[in-house]
Amino acid sequence: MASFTPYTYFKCPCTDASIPSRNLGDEQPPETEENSDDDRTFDPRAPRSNYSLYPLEHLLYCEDCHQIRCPRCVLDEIVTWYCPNCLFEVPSSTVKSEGNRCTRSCFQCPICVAPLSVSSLEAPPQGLGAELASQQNGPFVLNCAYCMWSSKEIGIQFEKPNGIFAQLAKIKNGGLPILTAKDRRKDREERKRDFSGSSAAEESQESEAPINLDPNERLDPESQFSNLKAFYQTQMAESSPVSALGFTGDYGYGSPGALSRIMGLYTGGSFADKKSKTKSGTMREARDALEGLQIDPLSSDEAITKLRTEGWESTASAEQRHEQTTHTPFLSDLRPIAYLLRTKRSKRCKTCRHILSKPESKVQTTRFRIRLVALNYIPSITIKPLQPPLPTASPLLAPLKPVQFLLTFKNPLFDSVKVTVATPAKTPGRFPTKVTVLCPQFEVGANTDVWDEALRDNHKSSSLSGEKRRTKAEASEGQHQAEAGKVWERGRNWVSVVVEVVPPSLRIGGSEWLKSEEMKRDSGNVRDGEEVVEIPVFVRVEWEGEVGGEESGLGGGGKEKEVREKRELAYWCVLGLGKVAVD
Amino acid sequence: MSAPSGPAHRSVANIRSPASGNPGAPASPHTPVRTISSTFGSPSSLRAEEDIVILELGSRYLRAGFAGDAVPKAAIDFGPEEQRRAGDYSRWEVGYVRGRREEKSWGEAHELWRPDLRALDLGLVGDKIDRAIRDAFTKYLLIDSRPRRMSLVIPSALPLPLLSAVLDTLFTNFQPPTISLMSAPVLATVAAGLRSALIVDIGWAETIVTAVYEFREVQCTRSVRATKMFGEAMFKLLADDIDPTRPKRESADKRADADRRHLPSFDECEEIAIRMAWCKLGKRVEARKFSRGLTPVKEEDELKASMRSLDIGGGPDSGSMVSIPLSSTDPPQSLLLPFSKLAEPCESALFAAGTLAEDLDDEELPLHLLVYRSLLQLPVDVRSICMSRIVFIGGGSLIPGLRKRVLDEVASLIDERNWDPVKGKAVDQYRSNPKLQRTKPRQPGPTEILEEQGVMETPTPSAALIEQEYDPIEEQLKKEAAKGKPPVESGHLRAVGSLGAWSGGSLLSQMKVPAISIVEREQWLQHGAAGASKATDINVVTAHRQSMGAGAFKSGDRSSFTLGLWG
Repeated sequence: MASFTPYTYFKCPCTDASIPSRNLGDEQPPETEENSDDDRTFDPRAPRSNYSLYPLEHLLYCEDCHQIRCPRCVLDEIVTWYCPNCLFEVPSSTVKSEGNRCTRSCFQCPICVAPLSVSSLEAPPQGLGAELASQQNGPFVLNCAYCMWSSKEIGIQFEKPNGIFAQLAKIKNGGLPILTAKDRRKDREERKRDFSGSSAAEESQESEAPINLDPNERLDPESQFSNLKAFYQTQMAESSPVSALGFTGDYGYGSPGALSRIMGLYTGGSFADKKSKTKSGTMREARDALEGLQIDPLSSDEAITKLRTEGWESTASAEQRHEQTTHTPFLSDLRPIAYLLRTKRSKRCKTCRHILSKPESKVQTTRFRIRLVALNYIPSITIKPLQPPLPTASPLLAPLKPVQFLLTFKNPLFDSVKVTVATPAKTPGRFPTKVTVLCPQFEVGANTDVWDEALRDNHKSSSLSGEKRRTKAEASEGQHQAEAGKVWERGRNWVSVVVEVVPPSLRIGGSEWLKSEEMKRDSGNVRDGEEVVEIPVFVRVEWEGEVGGEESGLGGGGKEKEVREKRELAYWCVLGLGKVAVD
Repeated sequence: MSAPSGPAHRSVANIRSPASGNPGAPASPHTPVRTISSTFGSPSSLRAEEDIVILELGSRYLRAGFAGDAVPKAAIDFGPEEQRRAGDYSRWEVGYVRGRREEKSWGEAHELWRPDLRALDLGLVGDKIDRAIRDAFTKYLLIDSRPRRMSLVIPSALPLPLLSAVLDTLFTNFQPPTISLMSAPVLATVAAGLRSALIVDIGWAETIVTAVYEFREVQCTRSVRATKMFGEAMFKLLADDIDPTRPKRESADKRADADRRHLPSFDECEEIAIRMAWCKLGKRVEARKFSRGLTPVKEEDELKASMRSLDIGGGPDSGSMVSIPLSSTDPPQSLLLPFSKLAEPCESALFAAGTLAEDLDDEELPLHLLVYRSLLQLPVDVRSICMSRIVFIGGGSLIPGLRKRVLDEVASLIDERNWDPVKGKAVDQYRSNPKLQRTKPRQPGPTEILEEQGVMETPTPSAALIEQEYDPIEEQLKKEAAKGKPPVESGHLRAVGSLGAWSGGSLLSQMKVPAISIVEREQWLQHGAAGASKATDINVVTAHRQSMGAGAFKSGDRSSFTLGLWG
């Protein structure tokens, strides 16, 4: 509430093309009416607008389409994957099999997400020969330097100080070993071999087969999943050998695939379907933990007792649970989190596929090979109050009292641009602000060399500096000096104009005739964000730019100067001016 | 993290033909069946390296990951903090207080959609999904925006407007060549290793009980008693504890806005609900019957209070207290609550304690009654199969003790009512009337399951009720047919753990089991472009509903698509 920094957001034009807002039910008629109207005012407070507004810094600009590109209208391509902790560049072939996580020794604290470090439990060697002891030995633990959590708390210790990921995958919380997926697979194959010796029908023998695995054990999701997968795979293989044996002899087609495809050609597949339906044996269900079936033990007395005796502090918070892959109700269930990898991405325009941004592939560099940011193409807008507020005054805007703000448009282009600014007289929403832009049309000078400016300034200093001086002098006197239709201040590549704003009163229970339409419909309390004065501004920029690379190349070097093209760009902006005091 | 048994994306060869590596396969050696992706497509799998993205959409969360993952890589919620503008970092500012929104109902700002679609902005739903998926892709899945196939796991009763908004968003913003639609209950069955199950999904807005028989949904009942109601009950409990006079004042004037600052926020309530809430052990229904006959509304609250104190006396270790720190209240404080009180939201919201069974509407049945009723409505055979395959999924099922409680209550209901859909005083009188006893055996079939033990006494059976004559040949045939088939678990209550719908989707997609409804991008854009008339444009093909094994064969005709269940 205390301070408020004015801000500007830009609306990417791409959102107009996406799904139109469609309300179901009773509110449909007014909605559709509004949608058909192309010139409707953009409402920054509408819930959908949050998805189309971006700060200028987030936007890119496509030089070929001459259009702003937001994160929604670019295509990503990944340049590299890397671990944000050890900056190791992960080859693309292993990213997936490693589960998008760093498989070295980079872990985050499950309590506070700070990086964990490996340390030895043994005291460092001291005294004589301490320097000779080449390295620490003895059990290692993961330590959090921030919250002092240690993997000892969950009963996990490591033998080696490196390759923690692989070691951790083999230890349960509490120190018991985990059967790895490899072990399970081996066991499964063993059982299968045992099977094949006996007849497949006599499956009652199965109970003898698993020697080392308990058919009633509690599985973690990973192993349950792999057991289920193996089970379904064998089931599917057993239940669909049909097409192979169906007609192979008659037609001489070796491959059942070829056969069924030909059948499918003429009969639309129904024939083969029927065939397979009749012949295939039904699949059965999984019967024990080895096949992925988990009987729910139901009793959670243990958990409830723990909850009762140890209370709130022993439970994991929602955020801590979110980081874990399994359900972890208690702190003692948490496991260190392997760092998620990150990517460097290059961006392409969705329409013309030209590259808009391409970072260096090396992880350590922060440079870009190509970077077409919108900041370099469209004028930026900064806002400040016309009269600097007194330090004692409240930073809030007084309701129903006109305030003037200075909008400064800064042109990054090497051509001068014509800017047209349009605002609704009243902003949409329940508490409309009255807005007047005193000078809605102006030209902003080119972003030429600073020295050009200096030279030119000399030439016609009289007019420009005269104007400047005037404005400076008048600024202190008060608001009357801001003249309609005149630019307030002008520089080399920037122009300031004055906008006058009458903030609304946030009173709910006003007299009936003062209320706006929306207010009458919905007379709830002031909601989050409604006290902020936000003004939608439609900005239209026109300039004459050089024709794009290929065409100018055709035209020849000599004529380049004449081949200039008129360009325009139009977009909505949202200016956040300040908060209104609640009276 | 990823496929536990080797890299998933490379195992195409063994997906369809694990038997080939198995020398002792029961059938004689044969070339393995291959899935043919289109009529003229080559059987060789050119798309082997492409991984399928599995998305599960619920009303609160989006889960995303690759086919072959055991658990989703990303779970993204739709809370108001996620809905800020890009570049609005105010939530990380020091001293940032989360805004209190005025909500029409509890937790509304955190929902992606609500069951009531009136006045729901579909565009906004699309925007939310778009952002969540983008987030998941860039942050957790680490994939670029090349088109890749998607599988969408959605509730089986997703309204068509919502589905169409979801598909529109996916097809226009992510360009997948195809999207397969799969229904959550069936996938939860698959992920439990079963073919039939009674899926009890204790979700956010609704608890949905779906009976799945041989991978088909045969019945679906629902109740509004779910996590949302539970969270609200938790809020009331906390609020009452902070300010005991609140309920009175709130009824006095509706705009108790200033008060709200003293009360915990949604996030904190939810956190307490997931961390501390528990569920009492199942008690016999007598305890609840006690309240019968007291109808006046005013006395209801007192009654409830007295019942609570009774319950506390009966609960395990009523003496222990727990302290819960609250930081979202102004000023921050620490609540000291008796431990047994934390089980109350569960009682009141999910089991409708303190409400007479007669007062309950059809859509607000407590969980045990809902499960019992849906079992009751099933045909006998399906019921006997399903009752020993009850699968609990959804966020609510994680409350400690809840699953046991539901099953205990259902068991006691079965004891009491015995699969008889008729109940009430008149029936009781009728039953207790000795003169009418003779007709008792004429009760309809459903009793069979429980009375197999041989309680059936038929003094003078009518011809229709006489047992079939013993036929030794048929018996032998049956025995022969049953040979090699394991006995099917049925007829008793049993709960089975499932990995959840998302994992089921991942499992099926990895094994290349095609979904009934596969929507292709061009077709959707072509047919779905007509705005409101989308639903009618879709040419619904009679879907081949096959069992999983044989269904792996796609029909060559792909000129039209079906939305399956949702069409």
